[in-house]
Amino acid sequence: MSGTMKETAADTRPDGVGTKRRRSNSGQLPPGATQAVPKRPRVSAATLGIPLAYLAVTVFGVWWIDIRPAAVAAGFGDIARLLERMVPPTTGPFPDLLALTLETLWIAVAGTGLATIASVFLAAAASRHFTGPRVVRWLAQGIIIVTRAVPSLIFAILFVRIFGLGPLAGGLAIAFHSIGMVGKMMADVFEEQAPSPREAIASVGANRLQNFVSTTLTRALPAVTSLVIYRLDINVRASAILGLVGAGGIGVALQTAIGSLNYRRAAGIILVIVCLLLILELVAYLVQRAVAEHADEHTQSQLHVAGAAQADPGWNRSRVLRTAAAVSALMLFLFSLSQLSLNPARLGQAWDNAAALLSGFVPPVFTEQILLGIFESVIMAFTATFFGVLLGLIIAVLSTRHLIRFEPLSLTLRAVVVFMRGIPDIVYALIFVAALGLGPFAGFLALSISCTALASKFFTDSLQNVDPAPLRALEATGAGRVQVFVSGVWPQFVPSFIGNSLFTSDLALRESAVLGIVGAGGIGFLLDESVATLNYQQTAGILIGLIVVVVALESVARWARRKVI
Amino acid sequence: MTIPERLKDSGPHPLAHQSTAGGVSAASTQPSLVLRDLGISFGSKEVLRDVNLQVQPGQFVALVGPSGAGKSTLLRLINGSHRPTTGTVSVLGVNPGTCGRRSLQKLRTRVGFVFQQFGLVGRLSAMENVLMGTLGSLRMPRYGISTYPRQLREKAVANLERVGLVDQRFQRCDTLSGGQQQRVAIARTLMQDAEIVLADEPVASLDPSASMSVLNTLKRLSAEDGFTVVCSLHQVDLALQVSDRVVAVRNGSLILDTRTSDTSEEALRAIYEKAKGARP
Amino acid sequence: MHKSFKTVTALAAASLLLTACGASPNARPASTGGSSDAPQSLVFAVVPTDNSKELEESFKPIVAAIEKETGLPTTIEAVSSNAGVIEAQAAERVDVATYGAFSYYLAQNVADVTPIAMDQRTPAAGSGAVQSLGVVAAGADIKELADVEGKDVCFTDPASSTGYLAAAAGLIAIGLDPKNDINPIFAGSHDVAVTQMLAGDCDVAFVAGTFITDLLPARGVIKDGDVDTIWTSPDIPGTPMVIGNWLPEDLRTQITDAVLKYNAVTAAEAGLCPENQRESLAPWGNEYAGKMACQWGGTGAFAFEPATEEDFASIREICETTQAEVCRNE
Repeated sequence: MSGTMKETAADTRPDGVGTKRRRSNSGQLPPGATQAVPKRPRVSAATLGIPLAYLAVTVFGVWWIDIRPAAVAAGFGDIARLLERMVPPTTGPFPDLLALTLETLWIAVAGTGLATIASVFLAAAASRHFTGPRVVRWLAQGIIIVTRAVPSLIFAILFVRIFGLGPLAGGLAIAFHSIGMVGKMMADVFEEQAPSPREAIASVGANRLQNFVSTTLTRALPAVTSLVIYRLDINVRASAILGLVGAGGIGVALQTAIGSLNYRRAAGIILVIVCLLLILELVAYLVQRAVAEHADEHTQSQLHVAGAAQADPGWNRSRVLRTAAAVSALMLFLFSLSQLSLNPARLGQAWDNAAALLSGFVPPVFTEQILLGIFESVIMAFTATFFGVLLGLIIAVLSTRHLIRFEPLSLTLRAVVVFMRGIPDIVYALIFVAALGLGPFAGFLALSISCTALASKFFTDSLQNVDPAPLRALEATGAGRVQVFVSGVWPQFVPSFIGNSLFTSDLALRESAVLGIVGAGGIGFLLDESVATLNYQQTAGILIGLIVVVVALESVARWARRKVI
Repeated sequence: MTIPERLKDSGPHPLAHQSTAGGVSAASTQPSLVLRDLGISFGSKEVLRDVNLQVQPGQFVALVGPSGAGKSTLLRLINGSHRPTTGTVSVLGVNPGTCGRRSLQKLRTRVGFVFQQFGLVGRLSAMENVLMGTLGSLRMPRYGISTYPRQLREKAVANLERVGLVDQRFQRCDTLSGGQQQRVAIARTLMQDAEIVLADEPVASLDPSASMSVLNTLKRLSAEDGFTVVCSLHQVDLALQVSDRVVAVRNGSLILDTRTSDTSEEALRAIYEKAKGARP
Repeated sequence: MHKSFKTVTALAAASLLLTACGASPNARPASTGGSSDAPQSLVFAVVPTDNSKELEESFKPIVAAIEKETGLPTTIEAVSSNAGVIEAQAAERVDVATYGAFSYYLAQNVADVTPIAMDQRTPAAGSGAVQSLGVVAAGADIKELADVEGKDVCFTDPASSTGYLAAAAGLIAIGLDPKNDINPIFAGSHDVAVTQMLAGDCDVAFVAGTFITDLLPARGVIKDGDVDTIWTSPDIPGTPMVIGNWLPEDLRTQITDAVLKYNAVTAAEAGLCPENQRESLAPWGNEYAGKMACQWGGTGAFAFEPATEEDFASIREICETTQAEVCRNE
């Protein structure tokens, strides 16, 4: 399969005027490369090696987890009885719930916004195209990896000591952990861009910052907005963390409802969350259409109408909408910042408090249990990713218009995925525990569902961002839809497919706390336990372990990107 | 080496006076471009050796030669993207191979570069892409058309008019045809009031009629504003039609440097033929 | 062929081989629970309570006792969520479990379970009971419970009996509404409630007594004299051990006997924890001083004493008093 893929990647090249050539393998030589004898393109180790490695881990994982599909069917009655207890959903007093939702939303918006601002700079410095000092680049990459590896729980207990109980500590905990994901994905977007506009603007004598804003950031805008809105979605869902900083909100209410077995209220809260996520998804869709990266069939080709003077763009409906959306996003962010309520008086003793807490982390303690926990989590995360990626790919292919152009299907699928995402891991875990009893199998299934949701979201986004120009060229040759997909879409999609699969594992590793809910161990359980029992030296050991694994995954991903892009 | 006389142009375009006036007056004393014993190697591979070339202001030089001969590398050396291994480059009296980052940026504002790949940001309008040409002389980054000073915006419209795209000024660049996109890129270099325009196979991905129109635009603008053009080309016929002077590169060396009127299509084709024969 | 291909292929082959021979460490008999016939194995689930540590390790001797008495292989599952264990019990897939008293109160409505024992911290009966303490920074002008009116009050979370419910009941008893007469702040955990009270985020904190007396001083988070205790709740029953009623009568008796038969010291003598022994704790008295003992449950108990549903009635009373949201069941 990959063999044909590479050939066709080469085939599509000469046709399209304006084709971006971004993902072709042996295309343009980078500046500085010798124009040596062209090598015959060969299947790179990454395109074959990584899927094979996943397969190997999965085979091991299936044996290790002791996956027995028949058991799920046997437990169907128990699942039904549990689901019965969730209907009809109740919300309690609705205005209260709405107030909680808004409170959560403000903190999430503030945290995501702060993370985005920090990430733009960090990602620019961490990207391969950064031309400044090496040290800055390493530092930026280090910050991105560490903030990603360290769960928001840890940031929460640190910031609560510094800033006190309240939304500020919560917003910052969310912001710090978000930097890891937003910064990484942004850097990936920057790296994937074709170099020619950047070179062109460098050649007019623009400085680094000007060049970055005009070419890199401008081109990344569509991908970055959908990424930021998706992170906002994650942060709303992960808002149970706010309970640890006394900030309350809808996530805490959901956690309490589930903890007190009040499943009908939990279902009501989940429905409210799903509605919020659907709104965010719609916003993402509209923004995506307004700022599309590639000119697709329904992209507006006139960006502005003529204004009063020849040199002035006029105001038409779409420009008004674009500007209004940008201004209101900014206002929303500023308003959300005002909700964080910084108390400067607290900062006086902050450093003593933080230092007292942090000194408890040294020296880190490593135990056999930590190694075992990491091993369990890695196996589970990879195995769940394998199945999640397969399912996610199917969902993504069906919900984009490359193969099937049946709008209701893709809309339904998108809604289903949002719904899937809206239900917290713990609910899946409970459902599978009812069916299968405690143990890794139930945890694996719950984790697989969250991997499916993650993967289908990532894949849908990158399938939509595929450059349509080569596809039109292929269609013009009379190729069928499947042929166009295999020869035109897939080769463009492979790098992000591999990158996002690895990233799904990376995120799944952090989500493996769900394994603790079903008694399947894992590093998340140990982390929670060490924090709850104030055993911070052990927490430090776990964090170091997590960082090592994330760095390893990141290195594989970077190597793969170099080979595939 | 013969240095042809500067072609008489049809008088500078009104816009040209704004900034190239100084360049034009200095032109008679100082060559735009001087390359001395220039050589560059990447690792053990020698890409260019012993290149000597002097270009007078206002000349249109066509750079021909087979793929891999070193044409792009030569242009990148002039632009300061590569640093030479041996010899010196002097562009408008500045050596881009040794000057610092700031002076290089400053030099680059005076040197336009037209790429085969256009180097446009596809999701922005033609106008915004053209305005980016002024970034070198502005201090801060800009976002959106209206953040550029009105004067520059008017200049951008005027330059789009000169390349015949004023009606498409608010159109998304990736919905323009290839020839139109390349003309937007040329308008972008016009914003720089460049004294030299380097073009790296500007028409290689265009159809014959678009190629002709792009090159004629470049030629006309060069004549109007008096800027020097060094343009690498594969199409021998086009090179003969637009250039004043033809320079041929093969296997890293200059093998021909002559007035366009002194050479013929057959002679130039022979360079490609020999190249084919020379290769195993 | 790339080198990495070979490595990967070798890895794949190795994992296949491994899979072909040998059972998974997580493999289990085809049916656990789900039927009232005599089961072939047992599942023992534990949930961390406020003061538990090394959860799985500390229950191993108890499980060893159960295995010895019943002759059935028993697996321990350490679970981070009470809901997880309760739902597994509702589906009759967990046979024995320990969790907080409040979780038992919730579980009895959905799962067919009975308490058989509760932990005992010293040889004295009823010593497993815990208290909720109201603490203030040393020297604060809040001296008794009535003084908290109108103050910022840190609790743990709304579903914690020591960190909220008992205190709320206490407030109601003296005529204060825990929602409106004070400003409640839920800090998420006992230690954060105390540290943030000391940092000035709230005036008083209600937390499990063991955090004030043992855990936080041991971790150096608070020192002697940092906090004043202004209120102590009535005893809240300790950690119950509950058993599924779907198990055959004689098996239930065997399990109960196994749990009650030993204490930490006799268990060590009976060889239930050959590898993981520690010295007897001071509060256990002179009788046991210097003897080796097992870790006997997550709370480091001395032994378990028999318990019945009645022993947990006080939770129901707290719930009836407070009418708390978390107490309401569908």
